[in-house]
This record gives sequence, C-alpha cells and structure tokens, in this order.
Amino acid sequence: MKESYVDVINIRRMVFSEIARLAYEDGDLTKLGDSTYALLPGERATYRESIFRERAVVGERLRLALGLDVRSAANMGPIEEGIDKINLDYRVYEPPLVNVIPFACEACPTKTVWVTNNCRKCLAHPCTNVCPTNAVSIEKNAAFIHQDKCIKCGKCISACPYAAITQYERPCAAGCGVNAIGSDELGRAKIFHDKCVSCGRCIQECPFGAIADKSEIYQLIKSIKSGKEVYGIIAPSFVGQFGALTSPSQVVEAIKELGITEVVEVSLGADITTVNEAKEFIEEVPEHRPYMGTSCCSSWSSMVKKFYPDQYQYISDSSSPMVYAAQYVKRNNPDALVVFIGPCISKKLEALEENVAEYVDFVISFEELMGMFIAKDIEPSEIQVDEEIQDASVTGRGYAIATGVASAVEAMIKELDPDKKIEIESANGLHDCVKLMKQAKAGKKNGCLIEGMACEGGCIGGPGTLTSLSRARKSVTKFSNESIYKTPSENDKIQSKK
Amino acid sequence: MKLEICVGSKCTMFGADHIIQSVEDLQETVLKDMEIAEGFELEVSLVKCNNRCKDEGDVYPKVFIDGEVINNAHSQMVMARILEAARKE
Repeated sequence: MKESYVDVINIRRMVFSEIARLAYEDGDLTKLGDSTYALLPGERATYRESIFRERAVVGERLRLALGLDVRSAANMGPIEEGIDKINLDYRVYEPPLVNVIPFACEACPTKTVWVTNNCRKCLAHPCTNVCPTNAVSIEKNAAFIHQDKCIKCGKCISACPYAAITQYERPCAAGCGVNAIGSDELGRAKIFHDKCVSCGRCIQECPFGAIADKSEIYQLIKSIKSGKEVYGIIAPSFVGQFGALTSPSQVVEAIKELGITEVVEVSLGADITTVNEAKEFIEEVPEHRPYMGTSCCSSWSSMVKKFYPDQYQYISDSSSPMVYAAQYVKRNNPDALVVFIGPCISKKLEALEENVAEYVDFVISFEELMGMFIAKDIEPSEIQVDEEIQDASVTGRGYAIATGVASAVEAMIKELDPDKKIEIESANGLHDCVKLMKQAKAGKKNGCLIEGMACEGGCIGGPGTLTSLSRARKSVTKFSNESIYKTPSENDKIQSKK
Repeated sequence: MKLEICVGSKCTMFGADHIIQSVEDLQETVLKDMEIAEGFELEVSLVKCNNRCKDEGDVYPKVFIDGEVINNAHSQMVMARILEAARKE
C-alpha cells in the first residue's frame, strides 16, 4: 500500500475492523447502515465533499468486505440487500474480486498532455514548433493543445522553458500492468475482468479510494465462532507487519487468541516448492523446455495464462507454497479448515481454483487480520510468548522478497546437481513481469529460471500489507536468518513429502 | 527532542507507519542539509502500546514529543514540530 495515502488507507482499514467487530459481536447485519454512521459520525464530511457520499462509499466498502457485489448509484435497494447470501460460516466467495465503486470514482482524465496555467505565452512558443501534428496553438492567454490532434509524444513537454506543459494519466490505469482498466459510459474507471489478474495495484494507486476488493473476514470469523477447527497458514511476508515491536512468535500467539487452533508458516510449503521446482528444472530445462517460470505468484501465473497462453506450459507444474502448506495441515488434521493469511488479494482467487479449493478454505490479508485483532482488542506486542516458530528454512522464508524464490531454487539445484547450468532472472511489478515474459517468449531467456512477482518488491509490497517495503525487507531478512534450517534439505518437517 | 511513536496495533493500522517513514526520511534528507540549532538532537524511538488508549476512543496514532501526548498525530504535523525545534536559535 502507498503509505502516504493515509486517509485512503484509513477508510479501507476501518471497514475491516468494523466488519470483524460485527462478526464477533453477532451484530445485526440488517442494520448495516448504522455502521456507516458509526464509522463516519456527525454532520461534517471528513474525506469527500459531502457526508452523504462519504457514507454511501463506505457502505459499498462494507458490502464488499462482507463478500457482496458492489452496486451503482442507480440501485434502489437498501444497503443490507443480499445479506442473507453471505451471512454464513463458510466461504461463499464469487468473483469479481477487484471492483471499482462507480460513484466513488472521479472519472480522472485518461492519458492527457495539458498546458497548465504556468504558461507565460512566451515569444518563443517552442511548443507549437516542435509538435508533429500541429496540435498546439497560441490562444488569447496561453498555449492550447487540441486533444483530438495530440498524439501524446511529449515533445512540447520537453520544449517548454517553464515546465508549463504536463502529462498526466489516470492513476489506476497507469498502474495496471496489463491495461485492464478502461472507462464506462460516464468516463469512470472500468475493470475488464477478462484481462484483470487481481494483483491489486489499482487498489493501491487510486487517490480517491474508489477501488476495493472483496473479503472473507466475516465468514471466517463466523466459522471460528461456530466451533470449527481452523488452522492458519501464514505467508513469509508476515514478519514486522503487525507492529514494529511485535515479534513473529507474538503474531502466531495473537492469531491463536482469535480462536485459530494452530499456525504454520507457509514458508514450509515454500521449502517443498523449492525442492519440486529444482527437480523440475533439472529434468526439464533445456531438453524439454527452453526456460522455466516460477508458479508461486498467482497474478503472475494468471498473466501468463491470459496473455501468453502458449508459454504457460513453461511455468512450473509445482503447486504454490500456499497449497503445499495447506496440504501439510490437512494431512495431519483431515477435519480442519485452513485459512491462508498473506499480503495478497490474488490468493483469494487462487483458493477458488479446482485443485486448491479443497485445501484452502479462506484467504485473508494482513490488513484484514489486523482488523480482527483490533475488533477483539488483542494487542500482539503485549503477548508473553516463549517459543520460537521453526517451520521453514532460511531460503523458504526468503520467498517474501523479490528474487527470493529464484535464489532458493537455484541454491537447491546446486545442492542436487552442482554441474547443472542455470541462470536466474527476476521481475517485480506487473509491468516488468510482462516485459520479462515478452523476452522469454522471444527466446531471450533460454536456460533461465524466471521469477515473476506481480507486486513491487515482491510479496512484501502486496496490497494487504501494513508496513513500508524497506522495513518489511529488514524484518523478513532477519527472521529468515533465524531459521535453524539452512536449506529445505535440513527441514525435517517436509522430509516425508520427499 | 525526544520523539516516541506508539506502534501498538491500532496505531499501526491507522497511520503510525507513515509517521515513522516520514521522520526517518526527514532525518536522511532535510535535517542533514540544513543548519541545526546548537544543542538540538533528535531521538526517535518506537514504543509499545501499554493499552494506553483503552478508554480514549479514536485517538490513534499516538506520538509523544518530549513527553507531550499528541493524539491523532499525522506526519506533516510531527515533521513541522521537529523542524521548528531544529531551527530555533
């Protein structure tokens, strides 16, 4: 998340803690409208131009957090419509995952080159002289760009001595690595769900907080409350996310205080992935496949499947760490439910996939988990805990940071087959992932193991995180080095899987 | 100047992170390049929750500047206070 977007982030997060509170306190969902007043009391607007609009937008966010679909301003129904469909203690999640709240969207202009009022109508007017389509004219008070002629080449921008010409883009669309955002009939952002890979970048980019994802918090809490045995599997990027002075063991203990039976590190699954991908690479590349791509980032996989379908066969057949960790839990506890806790929103969709749904019952993000702690008045940093968690190796824990996966697999390959030729390449951020795939398709990455991370910085930069990249990186690295297992080979917890 | 930033769960959820980020950034950029008043030293520490805000309502994030409690702190105000103190003659 963009830390500097404090108000947008606050709106998003207060919705999570409110939904968690409603679930824990058995709140009457038919009175959901009351929550919009609880979150935004009084008569004066805090965030938008009118308190009515503010409450309406928060209302839609509350609905999304419950798992309901977003509605338009034309919808006449009360805020609690459809509540019966989701007031359940099991997952009832339906795409689309990422949604634009139409009446929260300000219909920001799409890519435009624009003369600002910094223009001094100078005698030289180089802007007119450099324009290849004759789109710039000098009007009464300033230069003017005729948008129908403008090809957005940017020459006038560089030519202007006063930096008076600027180019701006719609933040959500500019952030989208697969160009999945267009406009609806009113010029508002519209997500093309056939293209969208649910990375959540647009959610982080929108300065008006108009885009949100659906959550499973409510159903998860109801499930725990109904007495079901729920196990948590927590992604390697969790370290340092729940308060700068909260230790990893305290996080695990805090999760147990929520009524979750036990917590296992997803890094354990990562260790299994490392071994499998290493073996796969050794066998497949280059004899059967020119290169191999990692498969742990579901937005990356999704992007390859949708946009480079002929290359999808070169992505590893290995399941993601989330799946292996969930299988590990269910093997030892067949009746347990599993909730994946991660930085990710994309995993919410991965968990619905045919081979995954039976293992992963719920997915929540760190923000959503923190909302649960707050609703239950749990303060992780104050918990007394003595045990250390030791489920995974140094390299498994390193999956959270960009290049971590590729490095782990490379190290494993060197262990298993020291003479194997391998080069690794990593991309983070969906734009770079697309570039990397283009090069791989063009045959420029043969012999390589390519790692794609849709979020910048890797998983620690995911949309569900609470901490800055630099601090998260430090925390994850420190925790990695605290593992008693230097490599997956030393991890006795996964030995039976081999 | 002693700046303590609470990093309890509510403070972390609602903005403490950005305050920490901003102050660290300030120390590495603006404070490094400007003329600091004699005797000014900025000591930044992260403090635990201690359930301080239990009955106080929505007061997060909390920071303490030389012991003074600041509720609903935001980064621009904290940075301005630091610079003001750093500039004093």
